[in-house]
Amino acid sequence: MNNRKAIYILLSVIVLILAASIYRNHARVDTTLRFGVFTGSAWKVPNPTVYRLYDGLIADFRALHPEYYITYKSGIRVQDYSEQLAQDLLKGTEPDIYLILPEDFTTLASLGALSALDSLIENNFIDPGLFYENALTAGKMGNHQFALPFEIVPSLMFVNTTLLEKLQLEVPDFSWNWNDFYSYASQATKDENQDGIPESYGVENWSWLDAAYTNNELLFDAKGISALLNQEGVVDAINFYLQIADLTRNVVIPDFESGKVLFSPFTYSSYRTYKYYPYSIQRFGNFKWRALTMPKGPKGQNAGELKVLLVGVSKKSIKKVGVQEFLKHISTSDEAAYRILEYSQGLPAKKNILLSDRAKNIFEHHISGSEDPLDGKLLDTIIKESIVVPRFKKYNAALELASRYIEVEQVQSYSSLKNFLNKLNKTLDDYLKE
Amino acid sequence: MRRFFITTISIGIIFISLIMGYIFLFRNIPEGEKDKRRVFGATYMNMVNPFFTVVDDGIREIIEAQGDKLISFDPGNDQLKQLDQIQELINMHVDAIFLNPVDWQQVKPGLLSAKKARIPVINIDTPVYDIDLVDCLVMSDNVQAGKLLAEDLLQRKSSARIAIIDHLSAKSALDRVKGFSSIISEKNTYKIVARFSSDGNIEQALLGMENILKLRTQVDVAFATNDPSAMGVLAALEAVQLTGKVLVYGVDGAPYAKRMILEGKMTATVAQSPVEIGRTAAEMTYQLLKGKEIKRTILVPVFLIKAENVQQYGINGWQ
Repeated sequence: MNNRKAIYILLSVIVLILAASIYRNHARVDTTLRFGVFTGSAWKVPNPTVYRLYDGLIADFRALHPEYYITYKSGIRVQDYSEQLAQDLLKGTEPDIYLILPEDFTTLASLGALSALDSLIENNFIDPGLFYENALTAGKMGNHQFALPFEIVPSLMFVNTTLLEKLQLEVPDFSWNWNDFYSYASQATKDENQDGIPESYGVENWSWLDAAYTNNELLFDAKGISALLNQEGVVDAINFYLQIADLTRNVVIPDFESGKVLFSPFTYSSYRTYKYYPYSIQRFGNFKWRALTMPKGPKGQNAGELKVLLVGVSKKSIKKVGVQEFLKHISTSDEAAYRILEYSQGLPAKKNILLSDRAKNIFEHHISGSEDPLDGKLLDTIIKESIVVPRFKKYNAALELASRYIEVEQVQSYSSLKNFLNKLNKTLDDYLKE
Repeated sequence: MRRFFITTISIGIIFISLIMGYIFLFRNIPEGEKDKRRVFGATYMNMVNPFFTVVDDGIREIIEAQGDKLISFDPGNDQLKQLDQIQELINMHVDAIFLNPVDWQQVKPGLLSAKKARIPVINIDTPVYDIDLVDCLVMSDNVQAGKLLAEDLLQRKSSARIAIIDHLSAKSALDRVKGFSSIISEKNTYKIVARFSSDGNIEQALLGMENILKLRTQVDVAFATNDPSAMGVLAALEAVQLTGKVLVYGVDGAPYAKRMILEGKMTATVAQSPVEIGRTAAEMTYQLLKGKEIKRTILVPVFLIKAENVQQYGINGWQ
């Protein structure tokens, strides 16, 4: 063998080794899916078991699909998550599949960052009938499904039962209505020594939005083109909201934690966190309290807003098959739903899970005191009757504008509430069409 | 033959030059070099404990006032995740890392990686074992915290059966127990009848205290090495209607602990100042980056909060 031949052989071997190593790395990269997650809870409550949730979801998936590897960047706090995701999108380094906070969905969908999931539904790869119908709409923009519901939290009304007993009032029924609510709130707002500062208050933090949603009314159409504030049901809701607000006009209401307030709306996640040991000791610990449904308006149900944490797929992801399998697993499998129920502070968006015996056991785990937990059947009904607010690009700004008018403007200076809301509706319409 | 070798060598040189050029042109330019803003990283044992959120706020306040940026991570009490986060911060070429270790010994590989990358590490709240690998340590006087609680106990009871709720992977907690034990060990009427590690978290403290109560161990005093653990103890006591019948001590001075003291459910807590710890850590880091000589260890003073003085500090915030 001459030298030239030897060099050719050597070079060929090097090229082959390089090619094999590149192929191996490439193959590994192709089966590694990046999952975008955050620590803590999307619902402003502590969640010490969030990694158990993510690691459990991944372990279950890998048991079924060992050919895939799932990685996630740990430690991103929920308050930093949107910014981190935005930066990753700018750099083109976003995860293949990621959780989407309710306030980020519209921006991500309208930017074209999310892959449309319509074909997965049309091909029966994902059955839309598995989800609560309203929760599924949270991931829809226009006619396209861009994300699936991962975790949901309905609205509840907390009642201070210590104060209720002191006022010699019975616990309201789960089917209570606005009239009942007003009656309780007015009886609780007491200024017995007449110093202008009540000793107890009816309600704190109950907004005009709660009034509208419990009257089954939306404030804007689904596309975000027109406002609906002049609809009869919304006028009734705002009228009722103003009646409740009049009970404590010009008075600063202390928060529910003070023990001086009879009612306050909270999400299910606050109930889940603070009704159970050990966190029950940390908040609302100096009085007895329980959770009720929201009081319903004449056109509405005993349910308010349903908040939805979504999961979506990056449009740029080239690992479509694996990502779709993982998406299907975490959003539609029973195992994932039970993990969400056990290790998050929210509820799974998959129907029928809450009605199972396994869910009942999870609900009863760590129950504090002698009171029964809200049962799965009641929560199931509340979820089904809740409102999912359609999000669009100008949603936050339009809502802020409306709130400012309703809460700060002197409605009384108009000849009627209807006139006031007609004018406000026009202002909002103009803004939405700009 | 000679021509062949010259050609091969020339091709090799061109190839290497192209690779070098590529690396030079397309290497990752650190954030700081791009816009001259400094970027700092932080990782705390967990941010479910609001104490660390407040430390983070203190650091952030100083850093953002300089127009710089802080990236904070929460490893959820998992040392492996914290090591990943340290590596992530190193890869981001941060200017310094604020570190509150999950495990004071097992964090060492992260410290070595930061050292290798020449990134300063500012150790906060609880020391690392390999203290030479960090540039500065800012923490409360933990031994003194334990002593203050023991002295309070001596004034309340002439004898006691004590449960210690420890945190074995945190040196700060070990020092608090050391300070506490140094006072009570002088008297033979105070007995430690139970001891377990809650890892500083409320859930494990609840489970541990429940076990003690199930075993019917007689306990008059629970000394928890932080306030979340004291809350776990209080939850266990409340479940069996023993609230107020066992003296419960904690360390932190958290708003919820102060409220418990005001309501008579908790005996006392030693107040730390997480805002001050955070601010001091950030200020020291800037001094260090300016090349100034700084103290290796800075102890932030602590003080006792009990029913008699709790109103003075208010229950709505940290001190």
